[in-house]
Amino acid sequence: MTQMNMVSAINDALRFEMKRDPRVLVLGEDVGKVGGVFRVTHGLYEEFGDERVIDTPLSEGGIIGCAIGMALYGLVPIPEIQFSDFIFPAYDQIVSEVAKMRYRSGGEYVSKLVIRTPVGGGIRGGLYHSQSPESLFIHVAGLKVVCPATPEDAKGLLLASIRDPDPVMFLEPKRIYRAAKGDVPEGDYVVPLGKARTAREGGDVTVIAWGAMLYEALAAAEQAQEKGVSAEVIDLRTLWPVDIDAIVASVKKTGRVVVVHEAPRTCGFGAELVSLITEKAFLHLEAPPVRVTGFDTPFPYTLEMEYLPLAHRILPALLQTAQY
Amino acid sequence: MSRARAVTRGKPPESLRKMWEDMVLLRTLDDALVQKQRDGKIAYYTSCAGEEGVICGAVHALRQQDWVFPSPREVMATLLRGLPLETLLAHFYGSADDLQKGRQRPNFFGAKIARVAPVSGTISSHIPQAVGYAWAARKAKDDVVTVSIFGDGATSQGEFHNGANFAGVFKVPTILLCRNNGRAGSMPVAQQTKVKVLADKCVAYGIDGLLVDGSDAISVYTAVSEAHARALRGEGATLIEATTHPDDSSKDPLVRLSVDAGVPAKEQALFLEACRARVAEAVERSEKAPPPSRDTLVTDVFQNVPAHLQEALS
Repeated sequence: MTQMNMVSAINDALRFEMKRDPRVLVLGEDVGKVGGVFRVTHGLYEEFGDERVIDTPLSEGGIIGCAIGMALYGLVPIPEIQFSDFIFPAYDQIVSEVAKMRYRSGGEYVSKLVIRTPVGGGIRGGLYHSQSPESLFIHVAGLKVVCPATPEDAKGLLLASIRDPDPVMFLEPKRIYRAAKGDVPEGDYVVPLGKARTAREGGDVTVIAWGAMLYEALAAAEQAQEKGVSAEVIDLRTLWPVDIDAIVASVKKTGRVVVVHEAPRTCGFGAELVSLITEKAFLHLEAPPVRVTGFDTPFPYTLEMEYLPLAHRILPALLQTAQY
Repeated sequence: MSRARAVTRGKPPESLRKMWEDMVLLRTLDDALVQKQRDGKIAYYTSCAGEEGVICGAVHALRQQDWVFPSPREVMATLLRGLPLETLLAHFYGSADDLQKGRQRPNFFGAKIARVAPVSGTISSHIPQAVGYAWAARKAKDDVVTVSIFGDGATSQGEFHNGANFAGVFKVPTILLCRNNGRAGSMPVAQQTKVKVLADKCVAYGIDGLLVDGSDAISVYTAVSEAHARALRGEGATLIEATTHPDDSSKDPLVRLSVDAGVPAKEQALFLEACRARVAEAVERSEKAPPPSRDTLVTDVFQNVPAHLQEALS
């Protein structure tokens, strides 16, 4: 075990897999000599050279388009999109090509990529450095979507994502890139995709969160405990395919559920989660499911801490749901 | 880098006779499928009639290990690169034997056995993919050249720019082959771009540019061979513009190639007859093939069918 933050844990996973598997390479804007704007790829260029750590032109569509070609050849490219807000020039390549390659070719061709990209607000980034676009990728059949909340999971889920046969959107919560610290296993370490984690056990209400908002949910749960409400917090880890069994098991126990996410509420992933819960655990519900989310607006600069569903917004929702 | 150079036809390929036979087969198949579309037997058909010179010229300039990334109008390249006729027709009929399991409409096709990438619906998205494929092969020290083929309208899309730009920056062994038939949908090429010669766009990417008569398969063969040799020498990518005139029968590539190939008239007639019989027989068989099984609705979205899709199917 080594103390790491999320940046160093992801870096460790990339280095480990690039040593293990010569097919793996990274490409993106400033990922080489500079080591990435968040330093996630730091040192890889020196270790693996410019054939496997590629500084590209400033073109997300070109990055993903070329990465697809590399994957069709049989390499395992890990493109980095510098901020998920910049992913939209590549959205067509991801939606029309990456996600559909296996299906449209009857399984003859696979576009196996792991697209790494930082998500989320709270870093004073404003509209174009703060968004959480997970539901835009979950809605597209053919992509797995992963979002770790701890350094340990960041390493284990990234290694699992690279070895998974399907394309994966690997969303990195940038607000906790350095703030989240913890012990990370050395060497090979895999956290299976599709398995949620119970981050806190409790019996009165279930809180579902992922990424940076996990810590807000945990903080709200601690505050609720002081008021006599015991909250169970589930860290989804893999958003799609979602671990619905873990969610249903918790909701059957508590009968009450609050979903937290940064993205806008309407058609956000919370909407799907609440639908699934009502379909699969309706008779166990003691209260209406509640969503605590970002606003249905673009992401603001100055008022970002008002926009984000922080603990002070989660707590009343949690208490009201528990007492409904 | 200078502007595009006009290429005149050079020495015909040693496979000239085969090239002619290929083109006769394409035209015969095209005629049959146009009719099947009119009869409502297949939902759509994107004809390549009058533009076979580009397909045949390019395919004959490539080696077996090279790859083609086509647009819908060039998927017949699969047939010229080893795909059985019956397998191609299974695609047009979307039947159980379709390699793609009936998932894509006619012309949106590819086949690994023919080293042809599967066609996408969004125009020009295959261009950077062809660049990435050749780039990856070079990384693996594998001797492969890729060719992306696209229409004139595709040069208006961002992905054309992305592909050409990456090909230039990384000196990728790839060929961007633009089949300029003067029209994209309803739009004449003058309303796509104010550039008079599309191949002159090579200047913007620091790659080579060639302009060639796309109605002449031998000229296309000459241009693609030159670009191919350049790629093999490590000199990077080439943008080729092959102009075609599908509505002008005086520029029919089959008429021209028939003269060039020098096949005696009687032999031509016999071969054409044999082609028609072969196509008719294969089409008839394809029409009777059953559709894909219902479970293919949910397979191949992921490698394994996830629980929610299994649930949805049942």
